[in-house]
Amino acid sequence: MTRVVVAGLGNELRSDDGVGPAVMVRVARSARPGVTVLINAGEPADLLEAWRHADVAIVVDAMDAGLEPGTTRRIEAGAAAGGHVLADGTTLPGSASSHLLPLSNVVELARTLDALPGRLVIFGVQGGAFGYGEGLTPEVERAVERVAAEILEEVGAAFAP
Amino acid sequence: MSSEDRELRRISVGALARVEGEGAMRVRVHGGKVEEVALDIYEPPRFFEALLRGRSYTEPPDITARICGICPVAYQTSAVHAIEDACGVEVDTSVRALRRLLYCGEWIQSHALHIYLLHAPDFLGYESALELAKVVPDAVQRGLALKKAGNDLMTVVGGRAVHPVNVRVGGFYRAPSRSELEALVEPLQRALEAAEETVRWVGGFTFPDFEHDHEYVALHHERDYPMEAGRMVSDRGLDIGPAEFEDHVEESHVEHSNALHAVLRGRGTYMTGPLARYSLNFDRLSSRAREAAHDAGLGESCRNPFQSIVVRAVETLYAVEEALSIIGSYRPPRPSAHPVAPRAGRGCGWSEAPRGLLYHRYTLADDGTIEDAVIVPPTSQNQRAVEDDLARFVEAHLDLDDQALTWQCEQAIRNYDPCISCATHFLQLDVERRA
Repeated sequence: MTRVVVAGLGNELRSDDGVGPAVMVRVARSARPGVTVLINAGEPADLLEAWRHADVAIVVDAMDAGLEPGTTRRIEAGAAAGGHVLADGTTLPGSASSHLLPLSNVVELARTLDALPGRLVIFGVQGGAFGYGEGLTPEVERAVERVAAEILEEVGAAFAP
Repeated sequence: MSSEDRELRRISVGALARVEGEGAMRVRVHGGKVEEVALDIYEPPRFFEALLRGRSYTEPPDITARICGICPVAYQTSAVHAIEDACGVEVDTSVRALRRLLYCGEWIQSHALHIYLLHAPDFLGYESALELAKVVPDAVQRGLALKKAGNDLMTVVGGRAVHPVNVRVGGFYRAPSRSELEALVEPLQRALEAAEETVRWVGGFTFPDFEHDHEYVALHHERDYPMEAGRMVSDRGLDIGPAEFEDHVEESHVEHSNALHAVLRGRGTYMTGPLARYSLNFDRLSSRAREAAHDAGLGESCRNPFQSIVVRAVETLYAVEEALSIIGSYRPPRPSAHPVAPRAGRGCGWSEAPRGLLYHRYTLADDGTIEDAVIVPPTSQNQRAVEDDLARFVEAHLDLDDQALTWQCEQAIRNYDPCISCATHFLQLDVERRA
């Protein structure tokens, strides 16, 4: 049986950073057997562990790429697609800690350890605000339904005969 | 290097990586002497002690678990000990065994995370676990598998791996069945081999020649290696119960840190954590753990903080063995929790978090409302020891260039596995050298 792991990353107490968890709430409502929905995954090593037994993995995370708030980006980063988040195969610099490892570095670590699912789809949602507080900005709120629908479509395709 | 460079050299690291939380470090060297070392903890305080006031006596295990995603069980355990002390309740051995089993899970996952992903890259010359994984993927895989064994133990006993939900004052909401725990035996037996291999691996690292002289403080129990129980002892004669902690430990605020600094009253800097625990409790380790320690080059005590990674590996091995032993003789506690009625009073409790001694004290009103709470985490107790290590390490290694010195200073800080988020209530490195 196909195994799908869907994960939403982010902190719901930091405004639009909570878009990943918000999308997961929508996806969980329509989840089917064989799909594991993760709202955050503890720390990065645990995400890696969740991917190890997945055929298809989907991740939603907020991003700050200087785009219009609510803009989404879809990246194929699975083993079949070369296993890179950034087109040139680099990883993001920055401080790694027990709580923080940039997603591109987690993907690179998974690729290095041969623990990358065959398909890994990453949805990035441009946030408008990352300050303290609950709730999403209207543009990002609207993106939630859109991304959830796309994910459910991906999940459906993963199970298609 | 020009003479001008020798007069003033500045080393700067934006924010310390591979530690838990946010902090910086400044070192000022003048004429070959270290004038000042300051560990700046700039992560904002979170006021947990204040928000506990007015809450019910049943809530601290869940509220304080949120202080740390790496050592929530330590917070839960110290909290329930203190509340049970205030309410005059002593739990039986079956509850105590289950608490210890959950604590083994936390030690295994926390130590595996620190050894493999945070500290090992320092010794092998890599910037990150990612770089390390490219060179020694099998070792990183082993570390992740070991960590998973700890997480799985926490999930079965605690309800989930991060911020467990099954701990309550008096015991547990639900005791796992024997069969649930028996399913963990095979993965733990594999983890035992991984833990032994870990001790051999880190024992082969090269350690800077450095020793410190801090007073070692740890719990000490009549029979067991200290985790959730014991008296607080030191290698210089301290021997106290939880109610005496604040008579002996004095916390003070220093300008450069959002964490309080702790000293032993009239004695000064002390150190808590794996090195102290190991050195004060070597004879409480299993024979297998003692042998592994010996084969990895450790004596019965250890005063080189850089070897803390080896001690952590020995403790991981011990924790896996201990978990298997507890599971082997497990009888579910019935009921899963002792009834604990509130009463007015003051209660103190502690336990050995992966990073060291964690103390809680609560004052309750007669209906169980919390009137006052005090939490003293290991990283704030160790801040002075870290600064002292850095000052002496830098002074002995001024011949190193800035890059090498920075590297080893950061490594020296990571010797303590500092949990800055716990302590704020920490690392930009700034070395200023003047002739």
